[in-house]
Amino acid sequence: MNIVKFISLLVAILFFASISLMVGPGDFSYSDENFMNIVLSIRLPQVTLSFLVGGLLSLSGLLFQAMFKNSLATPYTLGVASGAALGATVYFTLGLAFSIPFINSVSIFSFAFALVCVLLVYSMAIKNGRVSTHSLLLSGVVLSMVCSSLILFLQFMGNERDALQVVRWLMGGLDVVGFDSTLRLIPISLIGISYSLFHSRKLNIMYLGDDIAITRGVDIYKFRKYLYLLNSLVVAMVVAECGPIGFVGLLGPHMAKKLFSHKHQLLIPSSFLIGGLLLMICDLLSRNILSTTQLPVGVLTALMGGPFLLLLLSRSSRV
Amino acid sequence: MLSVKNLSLVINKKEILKNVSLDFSTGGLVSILGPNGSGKSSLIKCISGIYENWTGEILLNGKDIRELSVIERAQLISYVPQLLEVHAEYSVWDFLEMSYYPKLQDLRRLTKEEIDRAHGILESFNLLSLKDRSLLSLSGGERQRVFIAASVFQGPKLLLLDEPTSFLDPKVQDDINKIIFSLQKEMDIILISHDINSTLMNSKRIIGLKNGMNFFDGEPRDIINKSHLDKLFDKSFKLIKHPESELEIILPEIF
Repeated sequence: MNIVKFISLLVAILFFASISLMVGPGDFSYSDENFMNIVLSIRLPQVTLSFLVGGLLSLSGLLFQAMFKNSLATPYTLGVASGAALGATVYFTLGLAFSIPFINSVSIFSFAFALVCVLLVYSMAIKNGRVSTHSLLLSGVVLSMVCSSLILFLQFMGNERDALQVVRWLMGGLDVVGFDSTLRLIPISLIGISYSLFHSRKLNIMYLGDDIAITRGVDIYKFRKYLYLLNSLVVAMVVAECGPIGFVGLLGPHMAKKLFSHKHQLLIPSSFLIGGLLLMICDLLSRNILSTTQLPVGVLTALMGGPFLLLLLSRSSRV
Repeated sequence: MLSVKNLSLVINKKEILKNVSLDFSTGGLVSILGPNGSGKSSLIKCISGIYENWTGEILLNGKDIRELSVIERAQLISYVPQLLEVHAEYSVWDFLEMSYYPKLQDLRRLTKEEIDRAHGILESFNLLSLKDRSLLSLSGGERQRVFIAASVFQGPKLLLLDEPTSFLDPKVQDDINKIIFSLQKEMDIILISHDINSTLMNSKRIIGLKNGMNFFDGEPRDIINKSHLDKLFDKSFKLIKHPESELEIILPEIF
């Protein structure tokens, strides 16, 4: 039964990927020589990037949910995205433009700030070598607020053009040319998936609470520490590439739990595939929904994801 | 065999356990009695490894449990909490498999012999028909039986039970108690209970804890008397002879 579901999921991914490659802004005929160029250098990178980003956000949401035993945890719960957003804001408003081959300079700033945030939250939450989930949550939320205030301050002090760039970045986007972003995300995707699959039994046991996990042989303090650091690195890299794209990290794991099971051996691959598919569909729509311009994908994920999640929750007796 | 020496535990500047030394050399079923807040649950949380910030000495088969890794400890000791909140849709079988993690760890699958053993345990606990049911759909009694069955499957030398019959009706309490008492042939058990009569009849040793300190410790018929119980619970008890079995039973004074 699960194999049929996985195959259907893969077919859906291939189907929407093909449509995404065929459909997009601009009128080109298949015979046009530019057509293949556009497909290969713009649409294909965008399709692969949207799939990877969606998959990673969904995987990261799933891992944070296991860490907190809470289905409402998202990749952004611990302030990584706010740190990245502050980095991007600093970059835009202070005019720190520079160029490094193959890497978008705003990505470097947002990644560096996200990492600083991760380490700050970590250092605030660690006591006697142990990470407390309560302190993680608290320090993550507080740091998020501080970052948001600093973003507002910088926007207020900067000019309108910079403020507009910041707002546009905060909406999240997958507009890329070439495969650089995708290639940068492939190693962390492989590490993230294999690490979490290897530890899937521990992730299952985490849902039974700390006392049971400890007495079933899971070194929760050590495991939680590694999980937090790896997961935060995943989120920092994703947000640095394409800004904070919301709801996929919440919706992907929820749909996977509904369609498959609550066991992480199945949840990890299915969340990744569902997240990838969702963002690919949102990207397809965002590129084609308006005739005049391309809608930032983050706007669409929030617009569609919110009501969809509410629908899912209203249909289930338990979250 | 378990031995606890000068165990002290402080949580949020409050002394929960004060120099507790206990002798579990009798093996079998050892019951712990005591009023709420006396440190019973904290004591078994120290033994199980849930609490680690204690001072003193806990030895299992002569080995300091601090020297054991989390996984080594879980191979020797299992724990059933008073109330287990399950946050996910796991089946009874899933839970059994998860409890076997100390032996399976991350990659190994259950062998045919291990699957047969798990089936045997489920059958002996009358749970085989519930094997594929979600834990969330079970009644309190069924769930508690599943938790104990899973702990037995874990294969420990020592089983720690924290009031496993709380919140259950008298019939289900009896069923669970019978299971626990029969298990002492296979492993040592430390049971926290408020069921004085049942522990009196079935335990090899009874320990009384009050305000985080040893209050009494000994064989049931030597140690359980009106004076001890009255002082332990700050309440008056009566010891009367059961009209049929002639055994002494304990009744709380009716106010």
